[in-house]
Amino acid sequence: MAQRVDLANLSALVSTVEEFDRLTADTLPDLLDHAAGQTRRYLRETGQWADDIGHEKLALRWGYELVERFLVCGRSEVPCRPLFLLDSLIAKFFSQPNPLCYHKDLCSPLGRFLDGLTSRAVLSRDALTALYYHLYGFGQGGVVQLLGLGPAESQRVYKNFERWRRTGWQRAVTEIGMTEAELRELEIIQNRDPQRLNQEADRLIPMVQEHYRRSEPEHFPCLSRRQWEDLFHHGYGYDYQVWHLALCRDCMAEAYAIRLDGLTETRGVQIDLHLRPLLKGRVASFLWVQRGGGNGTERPAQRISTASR
Amino acid sequence: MEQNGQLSGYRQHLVEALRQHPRRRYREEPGSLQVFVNQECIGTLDCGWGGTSLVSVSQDKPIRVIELRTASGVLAGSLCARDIGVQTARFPVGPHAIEVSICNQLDRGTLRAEFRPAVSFIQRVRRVASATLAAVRRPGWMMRPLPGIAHRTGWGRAAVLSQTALALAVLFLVVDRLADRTGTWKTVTTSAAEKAFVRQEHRLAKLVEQQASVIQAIKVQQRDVARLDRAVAAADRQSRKRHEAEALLLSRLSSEAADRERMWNEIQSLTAAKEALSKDVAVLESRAVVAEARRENSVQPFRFWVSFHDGTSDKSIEELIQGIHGRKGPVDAGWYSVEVNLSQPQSPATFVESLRKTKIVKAVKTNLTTTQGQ
Repeated sequence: MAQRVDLANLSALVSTVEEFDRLTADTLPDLLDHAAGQTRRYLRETGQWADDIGHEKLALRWGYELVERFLVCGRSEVPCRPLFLLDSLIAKFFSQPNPLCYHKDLCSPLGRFLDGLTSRAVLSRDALTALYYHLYGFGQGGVVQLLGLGPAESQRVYKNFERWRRTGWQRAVTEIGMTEAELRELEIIQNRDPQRLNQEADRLIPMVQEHYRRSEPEHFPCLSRRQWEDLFHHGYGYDYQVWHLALCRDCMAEAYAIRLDGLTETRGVQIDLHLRPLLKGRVASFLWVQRGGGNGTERPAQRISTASR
Repeated sequence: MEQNGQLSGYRQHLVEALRQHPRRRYREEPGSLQVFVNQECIGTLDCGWGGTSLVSVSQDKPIRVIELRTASGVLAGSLCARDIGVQTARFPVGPHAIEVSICNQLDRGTLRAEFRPAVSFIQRVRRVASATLAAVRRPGWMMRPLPGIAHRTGWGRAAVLSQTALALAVLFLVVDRLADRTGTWKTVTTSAAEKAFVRQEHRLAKLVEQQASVIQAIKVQQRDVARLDRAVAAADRQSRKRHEAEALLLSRLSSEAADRERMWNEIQSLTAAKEALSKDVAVLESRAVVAEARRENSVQPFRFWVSFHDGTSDKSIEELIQGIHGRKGPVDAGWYSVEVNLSQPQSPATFVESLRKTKIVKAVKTNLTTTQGQ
């Protein structure tokens, strides 16, 4: 009943930005529920729904993304009726072809982790750079060497890793809906049989990458080996390299083969899944592990990269 | 139960993240801002070095939504663009701002996003100083006689005089300022003059800013006009193409019409020929009918009696009757009654005569009462 009243308020005309901010701040849970409900409805109508926690979390996550966009975009649409505006944003989003990266296997904890991380990488430069570590185990130095970046771009990569380590990873994991228990469970599997987890990730990653590569500009196609060689030789297209290689395994293999001579660490481009962010150094890593990853909880040790660049 | 708890906890996390969003947006260091157009990342605005940064893109489809995200993924700005027309917006990112301008046409969209860092105190001072310098320089620049006027003696002299007067005034002001600085004239009037000068400086600085904005607006207008020209030229080209296509279509249609007329004429002539032919056929048919009728009318039944020589076999008799297409009747005392159809110009007499010449015929009579010789 209370929600209905709030939704009625949201349907009323809002004339100023301050009024919009106030109203939306008061009704955030209702807005989230509304957007999650619409997402659930979309999934049901397209035959992609199952009554389990994975699907519920998926609906909530996409509801959150939509409300976040609505909160920022709505300020420039005042005067407006907030609920109608949210519905229009949702309708626009779901009217796109394949708006969500959906596959039943992606509702598992590992699937949600990979999907959420890649989805975040599309929106965040920090997450995009961190993807090289989470999927292949490249540290910041490895990324710089692999992409052949100049001093300014290298500096940026180091900052990306730093921000991801400090706040980005934790925030992303929370927004994905991964609980500490789920992470720990994955880590147990990884410690017991790392090959198995990597193989499962190897199976899921292509479908995730294929979906999220849509967010690349149209002029970012897959290149031939010769074109990659030209790109590295002439040293241009940093943006393209960072974007595309993080989201395309085949091109990553090409680029790695070309850049192999310049790399100090030849780890290959086999999937080497890392669930936690790269730690700063050995001492810091040790402290981090002893403290339980900064979360105040005990957990199995994260595999520490030897490259603490 | 545990799952419900997990879900409500997750929901609570998300609500809290949404609640924190405006604060994060304000506190966030932009780093390199990513610009998304229609959900595609089209470039980054480098905001780390303190200067302005610009991203512009022009594409073959209208711009529907733009999003600006910091390096950590915080949504700093988002805008749903109008279908057609120009739209501008300003998004605050921490103390800085991003200015966005979108120009949408039916088949084209252009975006210009500019990062404007917050102006520090030192930068403000520097800006006022440069404006003042420009204001001091300006009278000297204005004193130059206008081209086209200088060669005329009267105007030239007036210009020279006014330039001299202005130069003297500026000199007086400079001396006045110098004297003020050295402290020789410390009166109330000097302080008032100083205030007035500061006010003038402010006005001049404002004027310079206004002029810069006017120039900017003129440039924008020029760009718009150029864009409009291009759109008009494109529309003109399209209409020309359409006209050409229409002309081609018209010529094809006219040739088709001529063909159709020719075919119609042929059909007409064929129809006329067919009509004539059918008339002829009808005439011929009627003639054939008439001839048939006449032929039918000309056939007459003729009955006679015939006797045969003794010993003539029945088979020979039958063959003869069949040979003359006769119909055999009753036999009375050796006389066979036979009926035949005689057609024109054959007469009963000639028929009987020809029959008598047959070898097996003994006698022929047309009436049973007549004698054998008849």
